[in-house]
Amino acid sequence: MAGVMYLGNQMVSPAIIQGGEENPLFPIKDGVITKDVSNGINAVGVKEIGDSGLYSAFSVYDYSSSEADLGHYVTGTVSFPDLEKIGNLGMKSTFYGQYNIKKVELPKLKEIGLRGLAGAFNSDSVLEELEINLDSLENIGSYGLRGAFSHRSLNYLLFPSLKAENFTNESDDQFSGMLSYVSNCTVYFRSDMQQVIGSWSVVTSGLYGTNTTVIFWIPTKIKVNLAQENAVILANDKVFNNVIFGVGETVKYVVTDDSLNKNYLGTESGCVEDGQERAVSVDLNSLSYNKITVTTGVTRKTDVSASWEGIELPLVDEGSGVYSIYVNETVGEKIIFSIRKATNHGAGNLTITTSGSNIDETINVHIYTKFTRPNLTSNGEIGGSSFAVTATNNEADAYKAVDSSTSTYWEGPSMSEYLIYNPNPLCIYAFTIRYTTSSYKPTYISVKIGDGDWVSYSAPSSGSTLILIDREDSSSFNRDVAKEYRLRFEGRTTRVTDIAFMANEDLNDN
Amino acid sequence: MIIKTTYIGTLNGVHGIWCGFKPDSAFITKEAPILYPDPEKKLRKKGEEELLDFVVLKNDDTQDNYEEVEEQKDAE
Repeated sequence: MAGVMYLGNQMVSPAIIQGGEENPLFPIKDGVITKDVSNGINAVGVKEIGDSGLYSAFSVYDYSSSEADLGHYVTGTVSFPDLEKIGNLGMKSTFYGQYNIKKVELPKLKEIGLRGLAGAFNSDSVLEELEINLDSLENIGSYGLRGAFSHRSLNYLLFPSLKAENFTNESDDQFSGMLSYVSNCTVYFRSDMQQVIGSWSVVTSGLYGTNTTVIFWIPTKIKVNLAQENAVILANDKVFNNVIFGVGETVKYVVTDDSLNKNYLGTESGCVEDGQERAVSVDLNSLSYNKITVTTGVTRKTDVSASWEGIELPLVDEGSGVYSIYVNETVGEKIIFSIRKATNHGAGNLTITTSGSNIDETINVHIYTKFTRPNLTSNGEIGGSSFAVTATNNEADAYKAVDSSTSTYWEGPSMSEYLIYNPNPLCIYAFTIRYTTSSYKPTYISVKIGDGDWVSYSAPSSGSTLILIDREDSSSFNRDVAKEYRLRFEGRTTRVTDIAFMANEDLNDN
Repeated sequence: MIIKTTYIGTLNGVHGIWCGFKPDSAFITKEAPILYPDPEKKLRKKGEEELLDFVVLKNDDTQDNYEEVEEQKDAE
């Protein structure tokens, strides 16, 4: 029965999916799924889902293992572009467990009934991102969104149209369970909602979510009409279907395309409230652009970024540590170039103000050089002009852990400290420490970089080598430089035959 | 169960509520301690029947006045 499947425990009557029952795009008719939904659903024409209309309709609970292969796992976008009302239980658990749904478009939905979307997009414990458009939603019935997004990674929920007069009593439970099993979600309400719900305990406790942020904002709306199909809008505010929902009265945005040489810096001020929408048009091909070039010496593009008003701009890699961006001809806009520190270079920032002309600048960052540890024949002088070591115990033997031999060793009791010094700051991003035998290997080693905090590492359960600080191919390797590195050995008497490390040296510091 | 603080105030001129954390540059006008149950559990005030998802601790109300019970899972 490929392509056709009966629904689960609630049969759907086509009569209550008003406006959609004859629509060939809608995949349910007479209680069966009538088409492959593996590329998403676009239910054009469906204006209302009646009571229990799509109750559990696509819930994976109702799929048998053989039916799961028939293309009924919904992937991508679920869109009901014309839907205005969901009745009581209308979409309860409709997409329960369908974790491949990434986006839900309900742009005209005004009203959700009792438990109307309860559990609708609950991913059943699979943490996948979800974005939902509820731009027109004015009213929510009791438990209307209860568990609707459970276990989802939901970055934000935007309610630009909820009407304060529809929220008069907290005991109506309109937000009950809304963010159950959702963490770090930001929920935006219109500023006039604050007077009504701002003190409700369900709101101050986080709408049932964990680490929830609630923002009451002025629902500025800017519709940006794009002349090019490949143009996209970048903004710190929320963007749905080329409409920017701004926080505050001024909206900053960038229109760009995949050519990398066209960026329009847009500003709309004094925007209106109450759902009115201002339209602007941007034709990237009609504009002139200036090229802003910076020379950095940093060859890894991911260490370099450029932004305007907090919006990251696409960067062109010109090679040899030279980067550029293109912005429309404008005067007085501040572009910030940032270089994050890495194992082989320091950090840097430069703010360039647009002048209406091309600009060339240089960002001075410290570029490090590879450091090779010398083999010592004595400890040397801490604070002196060359590499040196010392220790809190058996101080005179400290250099034996950094000499040319692996048969000599430095011994320290439990809780002993060893200090490495170099006159030029070092970025050590990996240690390999060898011991005489595993019997003289510590249980823990802590590392202190310069004036930083001690960071403790467990010794490996076997072998005599211990690598401290993640290696360079890790995302968390050390990027700090310091003249002094302290190692603290804990747990038992330690005999260190060799302390090798991978490091770069900042020769520009002195 | 765990108590987390909710911070109420403004950030960059926008009114906000931050549950369980405080943004560095926010101007906070009010703080509220909230008692939450552990995952899969609910709260119940000792000697009472009603199950609770959270409690805003006010006045002399403390964590000691509550106990945790297992949550009944449903399809939502």
